[in-house]
Amino acid sequence: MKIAIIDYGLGNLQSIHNAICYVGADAVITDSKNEIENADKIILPGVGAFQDGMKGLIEKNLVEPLHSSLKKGKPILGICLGAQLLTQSSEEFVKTEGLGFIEAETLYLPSDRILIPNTGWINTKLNPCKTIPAWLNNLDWNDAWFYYVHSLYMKVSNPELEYAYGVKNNFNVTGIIGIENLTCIQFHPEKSGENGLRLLKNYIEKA
Amino acid sequence: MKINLPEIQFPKLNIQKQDNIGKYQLPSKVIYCKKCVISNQRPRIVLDDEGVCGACRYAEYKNTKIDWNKRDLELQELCDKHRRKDGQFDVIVPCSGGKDSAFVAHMLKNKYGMNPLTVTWAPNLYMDVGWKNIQHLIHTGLHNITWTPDGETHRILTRLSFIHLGDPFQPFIYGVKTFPLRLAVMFNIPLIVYGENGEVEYGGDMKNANSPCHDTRDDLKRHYFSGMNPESWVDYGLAKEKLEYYLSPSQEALAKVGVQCHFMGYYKRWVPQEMYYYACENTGFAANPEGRSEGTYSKYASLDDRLDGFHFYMAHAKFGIGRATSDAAHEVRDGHISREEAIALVKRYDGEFPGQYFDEFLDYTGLSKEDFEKVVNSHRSDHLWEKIDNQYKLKTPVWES
Amino acid sequence: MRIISRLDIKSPNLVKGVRLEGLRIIGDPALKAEKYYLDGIDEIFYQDIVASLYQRNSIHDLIQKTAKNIFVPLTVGGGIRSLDDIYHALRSGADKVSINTIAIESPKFITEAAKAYGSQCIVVAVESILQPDGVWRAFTNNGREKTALDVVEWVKKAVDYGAGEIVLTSVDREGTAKGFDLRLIEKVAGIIKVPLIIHGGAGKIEDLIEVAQMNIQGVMLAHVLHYNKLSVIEIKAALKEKGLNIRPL
Repeated sequence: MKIAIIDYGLGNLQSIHNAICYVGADAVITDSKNEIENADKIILPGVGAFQDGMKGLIEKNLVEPLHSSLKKGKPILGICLGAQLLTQSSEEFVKTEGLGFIEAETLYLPSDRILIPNTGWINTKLNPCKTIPAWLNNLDWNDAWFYYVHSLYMKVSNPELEYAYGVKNNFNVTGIIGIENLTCIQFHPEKSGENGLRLLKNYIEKA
Repeated sequence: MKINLPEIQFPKLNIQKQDNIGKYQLPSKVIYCKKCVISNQRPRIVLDDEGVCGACRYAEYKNTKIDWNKRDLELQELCDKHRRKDGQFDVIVPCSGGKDSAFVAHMLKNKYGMNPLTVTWAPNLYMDVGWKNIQHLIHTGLHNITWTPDGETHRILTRLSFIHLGDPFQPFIYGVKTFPLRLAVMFNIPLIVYGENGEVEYGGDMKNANSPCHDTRDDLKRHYFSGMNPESWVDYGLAKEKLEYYLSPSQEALAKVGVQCHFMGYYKRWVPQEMYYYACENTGFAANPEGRSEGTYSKYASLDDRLDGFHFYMAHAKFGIGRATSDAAHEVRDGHISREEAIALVKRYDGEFPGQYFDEFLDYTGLSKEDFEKVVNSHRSDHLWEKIDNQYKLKTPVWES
Repeated sequence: MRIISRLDIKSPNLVKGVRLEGLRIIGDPALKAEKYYLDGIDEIFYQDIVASLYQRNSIHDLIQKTAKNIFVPLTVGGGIRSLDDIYHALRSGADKVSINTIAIESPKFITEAAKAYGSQCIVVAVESILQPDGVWRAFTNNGREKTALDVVEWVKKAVDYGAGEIVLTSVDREGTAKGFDLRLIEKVAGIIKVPLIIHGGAGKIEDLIEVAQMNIQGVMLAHVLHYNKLSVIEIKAALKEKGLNIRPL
């Protein structure tokens, strides 16, 4: 099993790499078209600003290999900014177009409802929607907490595509959205202790 | 708190180039200890054949060879011999209120069941944090006598010592060393316990390295009085009777009571950091809320006197050894930092000008800025300093050697 | 509320002081960090506490080593003075960086850093000492250098410039285990719009329960953990029992 961790110049690549290796997969941090095409699964990580992220993807010619991987049905997992880049657009600083792999927009969290940036551990629950892939469904979601660090959230137009959400002070934060072979995770599984490692392991073994 | 000092008549200024090489028998070539950052310019220090200073050797010895349990038994025996249960004092602890004296006094009372009288020779000009620290200590249950010398005489002496000895702290040191002796005689308390023995801990004459006490005549003059006893100041125009309370009691009077000055550093492994921990936990000791002291990186030592920085600044001028050097050298010996770290600290902080209280120092000693500079420079020896672009630089700093 | 363990590093050792002074060598930081992780800590905070003192920047190896076995957020502070320094810290495996001196010298740097890496990544550490006049002043250099900044004003300003999180250290309480400085926390918590992490003074579980009701997002522990006075496990069990919002073990 070969995992390609996409390097577009931003983010905590090493952390993702460490976690993937820890759960027993062969991972490579790469910006090469070839390696992406040869990988079994793809992770698009990210910490940083949306605009810079898009710029990095475009400058490194990564949009096309990602797009063709999606078309081929290869599992793609976006994490945090990496997840947001897969949506249609973000309003961070100025409105910027995203990859548009999923019908969703990235919007600022409402500052009257939640402290921004939203950082910390949040009890995350699964939505009862039918399209959730088995590798997520299989996890133990009882009192499952994950680590979130973000100021913007992903808003899907079709509620069926929202797989999981976190509950913080009676406010629901998008946790995971996805469609078919694409999964976008707002929180950081690589920083969420044992729960996060289990999620990554499931992705590697069962997605 | 800053206080307004009255105007007083100081003796006429007489600044002359000082021969510190001759006076302290300083080696003409500066050599640094291979283990710490102290140099052979520290008076009385000796570097051995391997280039290691006596203080480092002593530290090795005390960290490995001394049986501290045995020493503790000796201390218990000493206390047993002197302890009184009738409410009379049985030991004098000279006490600034700093972490070290707080440790000694609190420990003697609470662990060894003694009834200490803490004795303080007042600082020239109090620092708020030092004042609070000693108040805290006293309120843990210790008696204290604080003696404040006649401020006019003390300022004159301080000025003269600054000019002629290159150390404004000499009069204070007279008091710290002789006043406890005076009280020992007055109250008939034969036992005095100081903190560490600076000669062995910081480098100097090692003759007392294996002795619990020092003698009250020759050692005082050589180790603490820069070779100049208090009575010698009559030669500089001070009336003899003004000096009375700086003087040590006569040897006969001391002998009659049987006064002995002991060092806690003989009985307990002396690690300043541990004293800090002890004082924080037991006597409400606080580090300086102003942050580090000028001329060094630490913020837990010498918090009593606003003029303190000038003592260390002058040591830097006279010997090239400032406060950061002394602090860092001791921390190397305690295993807290490496020699490289110590060098970095010395380079960064040693000899830093104590600007915060400069105006108060000038006011206290009745000197102008120009006079101050003249005095400082009169104590700089040519073998240590060179003038580059009108600024004095050490010829052989530790980071270049 | 997050339970964060703070490890002060003087390379290669984990050290601990009282009021950020008198640094005692405690042991191997990576081993301690791993133990706290396995016990269920929510976050690890490394502070190279002599980086600016010695003008060096030397904990990247430690970050790399730690990040291999620890899968909770790791924040790194000490000696960070440029975007480049941030880049290297993140690249080594840190998730957030904590800045103090450079933020005070040039608050615009907070904005630049937040712009480059996202504000959630930029923690501003504030070292606070209560002055005799009753005002808390901000310090740099591990509580050694005093600045003219009023802590409450400075926190407000740092957040305005883009700080994503504030770590508020009460130097007066740090390492004393005598309880948090509640007056200071109240003042800062009252004005802050980003997560506030408090540090300095935790001594017993009651101290944590007391602050859990306040507007804070995390507590930082060092003394009680390093000296084995409390364990992460017992802290979490006790807080959970009180019904507090705590990540389970």
